[in-house]
Amino acid sequence: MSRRKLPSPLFQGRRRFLMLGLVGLMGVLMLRGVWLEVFEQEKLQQRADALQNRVVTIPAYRGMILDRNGDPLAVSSPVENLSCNPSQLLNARQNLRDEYDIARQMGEVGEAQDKAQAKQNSELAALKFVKLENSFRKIEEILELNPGELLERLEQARDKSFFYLGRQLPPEAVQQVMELDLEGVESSQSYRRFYPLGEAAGHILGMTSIDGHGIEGIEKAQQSLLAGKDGKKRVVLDAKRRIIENVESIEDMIPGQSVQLSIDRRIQFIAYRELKTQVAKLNAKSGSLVVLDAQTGEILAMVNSPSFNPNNRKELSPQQYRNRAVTDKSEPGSTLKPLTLAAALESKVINPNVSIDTSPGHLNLGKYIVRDKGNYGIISLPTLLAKSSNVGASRVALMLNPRDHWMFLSRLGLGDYPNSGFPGESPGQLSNYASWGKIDRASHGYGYGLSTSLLQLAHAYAPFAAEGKLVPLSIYKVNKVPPSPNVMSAKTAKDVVKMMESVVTEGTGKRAMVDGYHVAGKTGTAFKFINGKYQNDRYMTSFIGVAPASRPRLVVAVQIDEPKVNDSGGLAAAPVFSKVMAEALRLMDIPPDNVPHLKQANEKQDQIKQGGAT
Amino acid sequence: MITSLLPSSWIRAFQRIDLVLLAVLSLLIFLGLITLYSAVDTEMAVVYRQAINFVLGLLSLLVFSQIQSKTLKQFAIWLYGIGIILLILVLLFGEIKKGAQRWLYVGIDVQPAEIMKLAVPMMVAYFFANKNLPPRLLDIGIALVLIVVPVLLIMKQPDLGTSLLIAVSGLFVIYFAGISWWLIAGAIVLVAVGARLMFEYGMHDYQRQRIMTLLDPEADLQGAGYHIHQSKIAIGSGGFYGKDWLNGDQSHLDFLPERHTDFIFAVFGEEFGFVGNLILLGLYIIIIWRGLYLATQGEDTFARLLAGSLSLTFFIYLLVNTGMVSGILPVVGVPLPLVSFGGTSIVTLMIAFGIIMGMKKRKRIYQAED
Repeated sequence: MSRRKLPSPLFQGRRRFLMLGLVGLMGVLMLRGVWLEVFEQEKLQQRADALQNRVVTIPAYRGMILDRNGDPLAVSSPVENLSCNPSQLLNARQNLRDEYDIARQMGEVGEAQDKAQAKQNSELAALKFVKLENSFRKIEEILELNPGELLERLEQARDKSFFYLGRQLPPEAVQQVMELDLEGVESSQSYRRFYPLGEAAGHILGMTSIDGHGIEGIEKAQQSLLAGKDGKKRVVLDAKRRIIENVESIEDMIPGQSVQLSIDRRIQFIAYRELKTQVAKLNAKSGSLVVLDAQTGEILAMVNSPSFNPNNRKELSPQQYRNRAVTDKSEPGSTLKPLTLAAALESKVINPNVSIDTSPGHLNLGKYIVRDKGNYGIISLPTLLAKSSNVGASRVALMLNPRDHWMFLSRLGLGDYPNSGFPGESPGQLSNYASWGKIDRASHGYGYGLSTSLLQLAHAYAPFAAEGKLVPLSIYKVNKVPPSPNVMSAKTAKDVVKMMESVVTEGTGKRAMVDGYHVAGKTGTAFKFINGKYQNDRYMTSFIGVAPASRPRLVVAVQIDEPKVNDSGGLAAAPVFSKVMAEALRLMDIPPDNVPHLKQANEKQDQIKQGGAT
Repeated sequence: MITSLLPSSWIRAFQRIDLVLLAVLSLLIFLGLITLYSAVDTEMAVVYRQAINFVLGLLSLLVFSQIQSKTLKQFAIWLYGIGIILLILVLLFGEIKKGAQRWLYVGIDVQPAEIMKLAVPMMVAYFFANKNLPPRLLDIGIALVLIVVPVLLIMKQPDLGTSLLIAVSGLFVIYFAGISWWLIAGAIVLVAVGARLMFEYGMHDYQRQRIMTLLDPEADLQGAGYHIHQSKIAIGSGGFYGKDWLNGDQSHLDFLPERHTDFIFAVFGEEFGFVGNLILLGLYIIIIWRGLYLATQGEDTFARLLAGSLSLTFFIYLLVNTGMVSGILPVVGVPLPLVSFGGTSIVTLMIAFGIIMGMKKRKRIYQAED
C-alpha cells in the first residue's frame, strides 16, 4: 500500500515538467507552422507555381507552298518531340527493370495466395518495362540509331535536366511512350516539313531547320509569311509533367500563310528528270534549266543537277544545295549572238536582210584573233546564227556604237540582279562601255568578256517571246502582269526569232526540234575561263530557245557544265531543251503551230501503210 | 432510461470508457478521413478501407478498456517474450519488402515490431511495478537491457524509426519511475555522443542520407530532398487559411509523394492552412493531456507508468511525423497518428488508448471487492 502512495508526488512533479516540455515542443511545431505558412508563404507559393505552371508555346502551323495550280510543294504535318529528364527516366526504367526481374523470379517460385497481388503488381511493371524497351527500339528505328544507342546517349546526358529522346517523331510512337506514364517524360507538338517533289524542287523550295526556320530557297525568302506567329498559353502540369489543364491563352497562334509559286510541278518534275538523266549520261559536272513564261515573267520551272532532297537532309553538301541557275555566273558564249543581232537591228546599223562577210574565217584584232570553224564566206543573218559564226557576230558588234550595245544589254538585265525573289542571286558581270576596247566590243558580240547567270540569260531571251517586252521575273504566281518596258521593237523580236529558227531547222541546234511546234533558239559552247586562261577542253554548253516560234510564249534555257562526251551545246543541251519544251508546251495548253508538219508525217505513215497494202 | 434497457455489463463497459478522450479521438478520426478523402483524389474505396480500420480500432479500444491493470500485468511478460521470439524469427525467416525484413507470415503477414510498441512499455512498467521507487541504479540497468534487446533486433531489420520510438516508449517508463535528473542529464550527453558515433559507424547509407538531406534539403531536389522540398512547398503555399478542402494543387497534381500515408500532414496543411494546423495540433494536445491525466488516475504503479508512457509515445509519434513533414526532423517512416492511412498503426494506437482508459481506478468495483 505504501508503495502506491510514494511515487505519486514525484509523479506529479514529473508530469508538470513533462507538460512544460510538451507545450514547448508543440510551440516549436506551431512556430514552424507560422514560419512556413505566414513568413515563407509567398516564396513557397511561388515555388509551387513554378512547379505547376508553365508557359507552353503553341507552334504556329507553317504555311504551305503551292504550285501555280494549287498543288502542294511543301506541307507541314504534325509531329511530336519527345523529351525527358534523363536521371528521372533512367531511375524509372531501373525500377521497372527490378520489378521485371522480380516478376521473373516469382514466376519460377510461385507461392502463397497473398503474394498473388504482389505478383500482379510486378507483372504490371514488367509489362511496362517491356513496352518501354520496345518504344526505345522504335524510336531508334525511326531515328536510324543502333539498338541501345538511345540508352547510351541517355546515360551520357544523366547530369543534364533536359534531353530530347527524339524530335519530329510520328505522333503514334510518342503516344505509346506517353501512355507508360513515366516520370520526367514530356511530349511537345511540332511540325515536320514534307516536300512531295523531293529533290526535283529542292533548290526552289529550300528547306527549314529542325526548329522550323527557313534556311534556303523560298522557305528562307518567305520565312515571315510562311512562319506565322507562335502562340503562348499557360498550363498547369502535374508531377509527371503532364498537362492537366489549359489556364489561359497568352498569345493566340497565328498560322502561317501559304505561298503560291509560279512553278508548275509537272514541268518542274519533267525538267528535273530530263536534266538529271542528261547530266548523268554525259558525265557532266552539273546542269541547270529554267523554263519561263515570257508573257508573264513567271518561272515555270527551275532545276539544277546535282540537287538535294529536302525530305532527307542527312547527306548534304554545299555542292548540292547551290541553286546554280541563280547563283552561278559564267560567260554565255554563242547564246549571246541573237542579242547582238537584236541590238544591231534596234540601233538600225543593219537591217534583217543584210549579208555579212565572214571570210577568211578569222578576224585579226591586233594580238587577238577571232576564229570561225571554217570560212563561211558571205552569209545572211539566219546563217550567221545557224553556223554560229564568231567572225560574223564580231563584225556586227563592231558596227554598233559601244554605248548603244551596252545600253541594250543593260536593258535586258545583264549586269544587274534579276530580282526573282531568290536568295543569293548573282548579277553577272557587264563592265561599262567606257572601258570597252575593240577586242571587248567584238568579244561581247559572241558572248565573251561578260558573264550572266542562266536565269538572267533566260530572262534576256524573254522579249523575243513577248513582242519585245521585258516582263519582270517572278517566282510567285502572277495574276496581273505588271507594266513592262519595251526593250526592243516587236518587229526586231520577230525578226530575231525568225533567224533563230534556222538554228534549229538547219544549224547547230537540230536536236532542239519539237514535234508540232516551230522552235527558235541558239546553241552555246563556251570555253571555260579557269585560272586566268581559256581551257580548250572544258566547255559550258547551253541551249536557249523560245516556242512556238510563230507566236512565242515560253523560254527554256538549258546549261550543262563540262560534259565529258557530246561536249557542244547542240549535242548536250539541245536534246534536253526539246523534251522539256515539248512537255511544257503541252502542259501549258499552248496550241501547236507546226501542224502541217504533223499532217505530213501522218500522210507519210498512211502512204507507207497503203504502199504495204498494194 | 435507455441505460436500464441494456445489460449491466454493457453499462459497466461504457462507464469505463473515457468519454472526453473518445470524443476528441472521434473528432480527430473524422478530420483524418476527410483529409484522406482529399489525399486520395476522392477515391472512396480507400476511405472505406480506412473507416474499416477505425471500426476495428474502436472495437479493440472497447475490448482493451475492459482489462484491468492487474490482468494486463500478467500478460506483460508473455507478450514481451513472444515478441522477442517473433523478432528473432523475422530476422531468420522474414519476408523482404521494400528492402527491409519486417514481416512474418503466419497465416497472415504480421509485423512483430508493432507488438513491441505495446510490449516494451508494458514489460518495463511491469518490471518497476514490484520495485521500490525511485529505482536503484541496478534496476535502471536491467530496465535498459529490457529495452535495448528488442530495439537492437528491430534496428537490425532495419527499421530505425520504429526502433527509436520503441526505445523512447521504454525510456518514458524509466523517466516516470523516477530517475534522478543527474542521470537524465548524463544520459542526454551520452545520447548526443552516441548519436554522433552512430552517424559515423552504425548507420546504413540511406539513413545517413536522410539526415544529410534534412540538413541541406536543397542540395538534391530531384532525389533525396524531393519529399521534404515538396511537402514544405505544400504546407507553405497553404498560407494562413489554406487553399480549401480538395483544392490543394501540390497534392492533387501528384507533386507530393506518400501523401495519403506519411505525408498526409502536408495535404492537411496545404488545404486548411495555419488555422487548420492550430486546430489539428489542438486536438492532439487535448488527447495527450487527457491521456496523461488518466495516467495520474491510474490504479497502481504499473497502470500509471504504462498509461503515462503510452500517452507520451503518442506525442512523440506526432512530433516526429509533423517535424519530418515540415522539414525540421529527418524523414523516418512514421505515420501521422490516427490520420495517415494504414491499418496496423491505427489498431495499435487504439489498443493503446483502450489500455490507457482501462488503467483508470475503478471506484465501484474496487469498493465491491473491499
